Parts: sequence; C-alpha cells; structure tokens
Amino acid sequence: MNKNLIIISERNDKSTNNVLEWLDYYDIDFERKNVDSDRSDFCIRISTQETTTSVSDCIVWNRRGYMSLLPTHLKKSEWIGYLKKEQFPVLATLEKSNPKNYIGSYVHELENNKLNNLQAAAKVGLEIPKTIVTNNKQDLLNFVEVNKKYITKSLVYSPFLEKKDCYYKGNGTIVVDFEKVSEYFAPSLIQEYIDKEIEIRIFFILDNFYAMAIFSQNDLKTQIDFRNYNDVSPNRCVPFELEATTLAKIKEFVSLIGCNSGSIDLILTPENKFVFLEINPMGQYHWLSESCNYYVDKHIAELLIEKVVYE
Amino acid sequence: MSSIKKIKLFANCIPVKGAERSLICDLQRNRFDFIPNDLCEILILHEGKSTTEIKYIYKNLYDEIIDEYIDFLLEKEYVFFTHHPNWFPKMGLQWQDPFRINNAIIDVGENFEFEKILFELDSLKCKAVEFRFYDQKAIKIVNDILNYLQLKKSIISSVGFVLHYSEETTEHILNAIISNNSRVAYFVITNSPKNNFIKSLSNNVGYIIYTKDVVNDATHCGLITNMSLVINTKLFTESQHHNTCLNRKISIDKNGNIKNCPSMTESFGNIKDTTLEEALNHPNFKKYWHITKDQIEVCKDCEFRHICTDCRAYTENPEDQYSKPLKCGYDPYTNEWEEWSTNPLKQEAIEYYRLQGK
Ligand code: SF4
Ligand code: SF4
Repeated sequence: MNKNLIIISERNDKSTNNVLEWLDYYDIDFERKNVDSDRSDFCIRISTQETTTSVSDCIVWNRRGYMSLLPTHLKKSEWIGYLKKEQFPVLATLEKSNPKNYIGSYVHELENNKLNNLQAAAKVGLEIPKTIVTNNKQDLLNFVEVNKKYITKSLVYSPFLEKKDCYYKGNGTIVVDFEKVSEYFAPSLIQEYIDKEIEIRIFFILDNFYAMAIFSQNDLKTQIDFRNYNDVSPNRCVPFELEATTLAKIKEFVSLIGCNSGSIDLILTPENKFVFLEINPMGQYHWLSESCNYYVDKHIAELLIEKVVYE
Repeated sequence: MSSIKKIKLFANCIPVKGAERSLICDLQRNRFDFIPNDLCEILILHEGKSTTEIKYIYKNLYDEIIDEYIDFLLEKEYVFFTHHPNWFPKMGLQWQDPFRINNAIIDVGENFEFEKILFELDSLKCKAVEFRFYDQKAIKIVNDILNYLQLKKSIISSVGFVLHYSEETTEHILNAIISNNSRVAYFVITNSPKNNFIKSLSNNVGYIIYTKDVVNDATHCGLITNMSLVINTKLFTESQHHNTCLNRKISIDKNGNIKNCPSMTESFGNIKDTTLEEALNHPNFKKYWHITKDQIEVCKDCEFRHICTDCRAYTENPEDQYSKPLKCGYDPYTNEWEEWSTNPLKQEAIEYYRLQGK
C-alpha cells in the first residue's frame, strides 16, 4: 500500500504549487500542511520500546516553514514567543522520528550555524575562506593581511531590527571597513573576500544535485552579493557541471551535517579553485530551475512518488 | 589543462540557422540578434575551441573577420572564454507541462452557456482562457464570467478578452475591471477608432490594447508578423517538440462546436451534448500537437522558427498539413517581410478560406 505523503510549506510558495501540479498530473494524493494554515494535528508517543509520531510512517517533504501546531488564537497571543520555543523540540522530534523519509528540515533552517558548516566543509576537503569569529579589534588585526579585502555576515540568523514604525531585515554580505571597527564589539564572523571568476549555486534534494553558474563578476553592482539583483541586464545564469571530485566532497559534506535538501553557494576563483561559502537548508530553487531549464519541480514530484509507492 | 582559453556560448544564447542568415536567440534577456550564417557555423561546429584553433581551421584566411565576430559576441555577452568548456553543458531543450490542456479559446455566440464551459475547463485544469466577442454589449458577460470564476475559486488563473469597441470599453471601465480581478490578463479592443496600448497598472498583467483592426469573426486569427516574435525559453523549447499554436489547446467556436481552434473545420462534437473531456479523448484531437516548425515547409528554413508561433488553420496549401502559415509574409530566402494578403501566390488559398477583404 502507498504511504501517506505530507507536504509542509507556506500557502503562497510557488515551488510548492508547481510540485503539487505535477503530483496531480500523476494522480498522487497528498496532504498539504502550511505554516500559515489553521490546524495540523499531531501526536508523539514515547514508550520503552520506541518513539512513534504522526509522521514516522509517512513521506514528508518539508519545503518551507513548519507544521503549524498551535491554535490560531494563541498565535496572536503575547505568549507566542514562549509557545514557539516550546514547539521547537516537538518539531525536532517529528523530523527525527523519520530520518529516511523526512525530506528538508525546518530545524536545520532555523539553526543554520555557519561555524559548524564551515568546519564540516573544511573537514571533507572543500576550500573555505580564511575565517575568524571575534569580538575585539586586536584579534581581528592580527588575523587580517594588509591589502586584502574582508567581509562580514551573520553567524546563524539574518539580522533584523524591529522598531515601532519600521522594520529592518538584512540578508547579505558587507565589506568590512576597518576604520569603523570599534575596539570591542558583538561576536562577528569575518572572512577573507574571495575573488571570483563565477559563482556556483547548487540545489540538492536527496541524491539529485543541480548546479548553475552565475557570471556576476562582469558587473560591478553585484560583486559582493548577487542578492542585490541587477535587473537591467541580468547576470548570465547557465547550467554547470560539477566535476566529480568536487561533487563527491559536497555529497560527503551534506551527509556530514545531516542535510538531505538545500542550496549551496560556491565560488570558482580565477585560479580555478572551488571555495565553499554557505548552505541554506530551505533555499529557493525556482530561479535556478527556470534559468537552466532543469524542471526541478517535476523531478521532486517524481522522487516523492517513488518513495510513496516503493518505500 | 591547456593554458589557452576556449570560447563558449552562454547556454541560454542559442544560434538558429536560417536559409540566408541566422539568429542568436538570447532566451535569458528576451532578445535576438541577426548573425551571418558563417558565424552561426563557427558557433555550431567550433564552440569549445580557442580563437587560434578556429582561425587555423579556416586556414588563417579570415583572421580579421573572426576577431570582429568575437568582439561582437563578447560585447553582447553571448560568449565567454574558459579553460574548462566541458563544465558548461548545453541547456536541455526539454519542454514539459503538468496540464493536459493549458490554453483555450472560446468564441462567444448566441447560445453561450458560460457556466457549463467554465466548469468543464476548470475540471480540465486549463489555466489560461481567451474569450472572443464579435458584437457589442459584451461587458455584462465579461463581468458574469469573472464573478463566476471568483465565486468558484476557479483554477483558471489567466483570462483574456477580445471585444468590439463601444462606449463600455473605455480605459476607465476596463481598468476598473482589471483592478477588481487579478485573473484578467488583457483586453484587446478591436474595431477601435485608433490604435493605443495601455500598460498594466501592476506587474504586467492586465494590459489593454485598442486596435483599428476590424474583427467580425474567427478568420482574423493566425496573423504572423515581426511584431509577434517571442523570445523565451518556454516557447523556444516547446517549439522543438510541439506545435506552437495548437499544442494543449482546446476551443469552442461561436456555434458551440468543440475544435482545436475556432477557425478549424473539424469539430469533435457540440458543447450541448459532448464534454470537453470526450472531445479531448477523440483519436484525432491531438493530431496537430506534434507538428513542429522543423517539419513545416519554408518555416524549417526560417531563422525565426523557434521564436515564432504557428497557425495550422490557414496555410498556403490547405490540402497539406505541413504547409507554411498563410498569413505570414516573411520569406526566409530573401529575408523580406511583405504583406501576405496581396501576394499573388497566396490568392488561391485566400479564396479557399474566403478571406478576401478581411
Ligand atoms: S491555428 Fe491559426 S487560426 Fe487557429 S488559433 Fe492558431 S493561429 Fe489562430
Ligand atoms: S516563415 Fe514560418 S517560421 Fe518564419 S516567420 Fe513565417 S511563420 Fe514564422
């Protein structure tokens, strides 16, 4: 008998909708549980023999967000901060109860620790930028070399700031201006700026890896971070084939950090070295799929169906 | 690794060779450039080689021209140089779509039962529908259709309307409809006193075209001009495998007959007593879906063949389903666009379809 298929996402996520259209095309039933939907029932049973949960016998694709486990009126209450914290170990247990068939991970997305990722990448032999995490100028100055550029980005969470009348959210990389660095500051990650020939974006889900090359170097506006899109004449984005040794290291890396889906940023340097920058466990793939005509949506539907039918 | 860099096309810039000249179709930036056929040949045969190698292959007789070509390609960002050409595979040209029917043309006639038709289109999961009206007093029906779709939370997400000009088709009235209905993709107002294009107020959906073209029945359709070229991956890839007008299309003419398109003669039953599903399952229904431009006479030699749509209802030789679209005035052997309707060689077909004066 077929297993149940559960899709966890956000109501307006385009990629989810595309995959579901393909599931429909193949006539496969599924249940969609959106983070912004009203109710998702669940249950975890712990006994001396085993732990079973409502998803331990299902195929789950956790595309975005998480199953919304809280009644709507509580989501708006003052307790929401506390309740979300309490919800977190529940989500983690649900994910862990089904390691083989739980694809994607909100826990990874939320706790995406760049320090762990960099260490794991280095361990499998991927090049990484020279990195320091510190809170004082002296250590920073001992680390930097003259005439080199350095950047800083967040350690885990995208920076955000909520004020009464405005809201700031940053999600990028900025160049460090040493003139402006104070003597003693909040713990910060600082990395050597890597010159790039091209950027490589890799989306992966289970054993499928899709790579795209982004030619951002030609264009001054995007030299630091291509998320500052240049719309007038968009950077060339084309299919890329990772050579076997790098691909093998990447596969080892994702299995080491226990991620079965996500997107990875690499840089190809002018010296033809691949340097690992970061991984986003719930990264978008729509842009990559469209640019390279990969039909990732269709492949995801097909691999979910394979699991539903044959696992 | 050899130290000399090789030339590589960006995979979304694809050369298409025609009889007398070629195109580079830039599928990412949605534009094209004409290139001479000998440059197209260089790109097709010698991509992945170094400039020196290419010059040598042409016996170093054309070094200057080759340098000029490469300057042009670099300036337009069609090519780059790399030590590793094999890291940059060609883009796959597959075309896939999860819907059995993805577009429909509905001609509105006297006994138009829109609820029944919309219900059936909805169950086929057809997302894009065009309604064409051939008389005035259409706005009420337009509103009825849109209200019904909203009420039923229909899967139909893109609706276009072709209407006659009237006092009800002012920019003001149409824009009010557009802003209340995110489903409206466009209005085309025919028989207008003047030509005018009104940009959409938001996100490119919901534009209005006023055109002086006189449209009184389905015979207006099928016109192919240099204005109707579309450069994107969807059309380019679909065109490799399918017909670029009729693939996944279903239509109802103004008498309720279910057809591939309203201009076709073959009917697969009337909507009164046949469902769209039944028509779709008729063995002949999909017979045009796989006729590609590479198989069509003349078009197969045309550099525009993958950025141009097709027409199978009006062809130069009505007896031959692989004949060139009648209403295209382009000649890929002379590279000239001419008025199709006055071409002496087309008069017989024009008479056959009774298109005189249309
Ligand atoms: S086949 Fe020709 S007449 Fe029919 S819808 Fe297509 S372009 Fe129009
Ligand atoms: S000859 Fe054919 S491919 Fe060329 S423009 Fe005309 S219809 Fe299109």
